[in-house]
Amino acid sequence: MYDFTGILPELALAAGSLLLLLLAVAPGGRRAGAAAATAALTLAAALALLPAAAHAGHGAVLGGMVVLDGFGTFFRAVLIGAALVVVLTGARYVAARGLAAPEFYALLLMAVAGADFMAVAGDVISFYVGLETLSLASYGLAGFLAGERFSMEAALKYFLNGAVASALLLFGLSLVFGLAGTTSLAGIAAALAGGAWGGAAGTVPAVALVFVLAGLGFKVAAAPFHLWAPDVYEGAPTPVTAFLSLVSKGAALAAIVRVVAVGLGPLHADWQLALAVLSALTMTVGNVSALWQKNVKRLLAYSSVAHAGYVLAGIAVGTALGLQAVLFYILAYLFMNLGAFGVVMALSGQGEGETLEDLAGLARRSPWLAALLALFALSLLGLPWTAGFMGKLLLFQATVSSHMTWLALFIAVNTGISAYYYFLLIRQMYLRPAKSAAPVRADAWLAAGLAVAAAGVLLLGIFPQSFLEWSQLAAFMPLP
Amino acid sequence: MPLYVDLVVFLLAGFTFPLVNVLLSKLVRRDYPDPLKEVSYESGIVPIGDARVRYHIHYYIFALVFLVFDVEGLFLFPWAVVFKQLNPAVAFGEAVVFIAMLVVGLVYAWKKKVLTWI
Amino acid sequence: MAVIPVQAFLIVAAALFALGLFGALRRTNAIMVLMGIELMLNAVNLNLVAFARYLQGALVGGQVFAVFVITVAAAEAAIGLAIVLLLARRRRTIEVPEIHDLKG
Repeated sequence: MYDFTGILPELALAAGSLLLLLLAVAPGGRRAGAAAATAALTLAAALALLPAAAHAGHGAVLGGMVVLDGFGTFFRAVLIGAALVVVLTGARYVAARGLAAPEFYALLLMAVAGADFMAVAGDVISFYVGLETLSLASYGLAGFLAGERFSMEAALKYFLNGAVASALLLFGLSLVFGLAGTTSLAGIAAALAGGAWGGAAGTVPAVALVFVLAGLGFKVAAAPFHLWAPDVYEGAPTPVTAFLSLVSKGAALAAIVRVVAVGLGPLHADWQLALAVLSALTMTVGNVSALWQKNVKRLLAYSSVAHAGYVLAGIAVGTALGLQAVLFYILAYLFMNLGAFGVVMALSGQGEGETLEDLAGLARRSPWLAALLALFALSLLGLPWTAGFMGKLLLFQATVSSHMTWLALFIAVNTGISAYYYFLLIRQMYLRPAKSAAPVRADAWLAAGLAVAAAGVLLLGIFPQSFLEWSQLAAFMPLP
Repeated sequence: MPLYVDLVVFLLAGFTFPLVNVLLSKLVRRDYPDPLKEVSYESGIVPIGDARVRYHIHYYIFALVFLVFDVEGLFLFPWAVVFKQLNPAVAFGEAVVFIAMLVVGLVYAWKKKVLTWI
Repeated sequence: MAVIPVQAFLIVAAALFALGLFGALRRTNAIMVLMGIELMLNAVNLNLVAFARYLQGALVGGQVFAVFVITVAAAEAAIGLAIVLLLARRRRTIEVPEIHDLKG
């Protein structure tokens, strides 16, 4: 019998999800508060089980399906933690908008379990099942405001785009399987290094790589595969938008490292260039499109497209330094994006609009919320003493030290472009008159979530040392 | 090559046999047309309306649930094939866990009144 | 009896995949798009079982992968149909180009 200790957190998540489904049909079990508490406790339990799981072994376990290493543990902590904060901060929104709470949280827990499996996948099969568990649950979550046409449209667009993307990815993976004769990612890397089907110089491996990159590009919303992202982010319920931009994107980025940088490692001459071009294109398209957005969720959607571009630059570098920059940046991105979406959640949770106009005069209505959103915007921009600055600095170091100065230049120019719309956000809040004087209130949990996000942004920006060491340890991976 | 000759012979025989019989019965039988004979056969009940009706929305949900449960059963086939090579207690326990998860889904669908026809 | 070369399967799978992709991109009816996606997934399955048959020692991996693809495809179809169903009830249309309120 296999030892399942290594995946205890994911087992807890799956059990919590099933429990919520039973709760949904139990008499009196449909109260939103009870469902939110169950979900939060499950996620907290998963986090508590993570150390035990991480120490259950090193390397491939469960027949090679799962790889236990620092990288996986880092991502599992980030993904589960982000989901926990989304659940806590989104609880009021879910209750106020009358979403079917037990089913909502059941799907969310399932999605996190899938995301975790993507981060620890040691085999193409476990990666694929994790990806689909995450994706299928996310399609449902995006359409959860079933009464609202925008939400249904978001779900349809997300589903159609995502399903085509996963079919593309699968076709690539089936070719990779044919090349290597094994579904194990380590085995695939070994077979390609051994020159199967022409190895790194062969045509078929290159074709397979294109399919895999296109499929994964969709999932991280990298340009030119990003077109679904703004629509879905705008139409989905705001907690789901936060979830997609953090958990879904984080897991997809982890999967790119696992599948492309490690599994297809021997092809690094090919994927390095492809990822670098993808990265430059993604950050430019994301930032330029964000310039004329009116809806805040849509603006943040394009901003998160751009940030995926920055992270891809770190993966393209392909060195340990690059990977460390990636991990640090994802952690920073987590805090600042969580915070930004949290403020939007406070607005839409009490039924206000989500456009830039609705932000006008927020500084007078709710000075704290405005100050926090300003902090998160400045961090997303990358101003010194914020997490975003340290992240960008590391990416600069990684790209320049690997002689990819042109990519570093792209990051610099794009930071300049993004300054326009982040300052637009701040100007709306501080320099425009408010349409109403009513304060925007955040409930206790949302306030706590925002406080955590703000603390994270400042800590990572001012005292990055221990986080740097952490990400350095986690970046220890068998890179080419 | 002989393989394909066989195939052609079977194909020809397969087409000829029903064709000959249909033509033969057409030659031999007597012909009394009747509108009642043209009606589609529904086990002796007089058919109502057209085949192109709008199904009740409930039918689709029923079908969706069937689709998922039908295919999930697929996992039991490889399990059954290798069962004897596994540790029976462990293998049985794992299948029980798998089916228990399906049962949770079934209970959910049942309580949501997907299974009751209206 | 002559053995059919693995290339034959790969060509059929590639053609099937291309047909499915064309359908998924070109069709406007959401159900038709869904059918295109199913074709693409079946092309993948054909690839997997063909490779599993022809590669020494890779039998189990390919077939297990195919089983997972089949079940996930069913779940995907169920989710997709449920979304289309909800849209059809609400919008009275499942023509994708007519569903475009989100833009900017």
